[in-house]
Amino acid sequence: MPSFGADMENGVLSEWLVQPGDSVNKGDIVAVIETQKGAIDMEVFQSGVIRTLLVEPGTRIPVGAAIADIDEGALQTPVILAAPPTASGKESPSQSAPRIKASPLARRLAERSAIPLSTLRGSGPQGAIIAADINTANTTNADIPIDVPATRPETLPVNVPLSTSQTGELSGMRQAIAAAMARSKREIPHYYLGTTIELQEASQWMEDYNRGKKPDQQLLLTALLHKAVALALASSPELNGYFIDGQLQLTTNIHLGMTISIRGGGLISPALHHADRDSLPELMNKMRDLTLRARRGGLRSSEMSDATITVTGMGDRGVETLYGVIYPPQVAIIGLGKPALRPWVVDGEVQPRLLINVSLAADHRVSDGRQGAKFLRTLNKLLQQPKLL
Amino acid sequence: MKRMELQTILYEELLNIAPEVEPSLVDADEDLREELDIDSMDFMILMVALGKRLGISIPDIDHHLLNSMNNLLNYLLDKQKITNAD
Repeated sequence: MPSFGADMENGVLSEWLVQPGDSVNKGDIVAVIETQKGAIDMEVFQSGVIRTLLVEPGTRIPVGAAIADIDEGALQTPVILAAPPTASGKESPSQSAPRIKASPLARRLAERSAIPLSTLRGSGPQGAIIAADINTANTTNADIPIDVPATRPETLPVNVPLSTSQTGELSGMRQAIAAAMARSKREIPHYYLGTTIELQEASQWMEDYNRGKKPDQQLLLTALLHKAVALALASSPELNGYFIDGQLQLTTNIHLGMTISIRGGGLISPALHHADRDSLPELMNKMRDLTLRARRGGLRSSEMSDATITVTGMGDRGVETLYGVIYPPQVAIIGLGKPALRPWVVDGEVQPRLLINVSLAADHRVSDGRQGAKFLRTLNKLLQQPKLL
Repeated sequence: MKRMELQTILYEELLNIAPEVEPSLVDADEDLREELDIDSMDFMILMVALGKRLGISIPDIDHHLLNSMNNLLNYLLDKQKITNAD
């Protein structure tokens, strides 16, 4: 059972997508794991043939436990699915079994009501099973006793509300965030830097770029900002990577954790793999796709585990300035404020300009303010030349 | 397509961006983004999804017309008529 993040201790296997005898390639999605951060598509770490599935759906499994045996061809040895420190599955694998489309809320409700998802007909987008379908099933089966134990200590601590966004439903996620953030503040000596960057040029360039394009081909400022961060990191390697057990593991792979609010409470920061190598339209597509999957389900285990740095911000509904808390074992986090038209001195005159406050919180064990300041300067420079992004 | 059908489609797509919102409880005349608490990314995702599902294109110069649930539905209704008439 792999870890999908520093704050994950266990997960509930909700569905196998392979059977004994199936051949799998590294990166294939083999199971759906219900975690504190929702249902995650688990990718396999090695190629081979599935010999035995050791765990039944519905079982809670601690990180590191064996869940399947894989025959790796010549080796003929049972292999345990365990977490590599930094998985970097970038391949886009083929799915070997049809996935039951269901919203995370629906999955939890179904689990609670002990209704197998496979028996339900989805009425959501593309036939996805949504919360309402489970309610319908519950009503239809009202006179059939459903085997739901009064207390189920082995399942996720969820109390699912139907129409209100109250606290019970996401308490699992709150616990995960609490653990990670408490560890961060306990262990990581943060230093904080902030600067104001002019986005006038970038925003004008983007407006020109977007003119006449269809909505799905347009860019948002957030894509430009993420790309610029990724490019700026190339010359500030000490901000990109991990600090684990006193060991520094910096990397040239730039996997930006993109912070997405899980509506109703909590957030999630899946990785935009190799964000520095994507063109702006590619990155924009990835960001849209990640946002959708974070809400609807279908995030992949590699996306959950291998961000090398996090970018956080609340978009155009955010605040002027935002200081992040580093997500361990990462060593830095970038905070994006809300871009706003404000007075700015240009050529000795005050003019209205689109400005953004960008902050950096970094691990002082790994880097110093001088290096952090250099990163912010580079970021500023890149954003003044938007066509080079 | 009737207004009710469009509303059903809109509600379904809203589930993807604001799953916790009960669309029938949203004030349909109030500011859409305020009511749903959605940012430009969510709004873009919604426009792309509606455009694809209804086979229409929603240019951004029209975005100011889509500032409430009711205005959005009216817009989609008109747009469909135009598309069908073509």
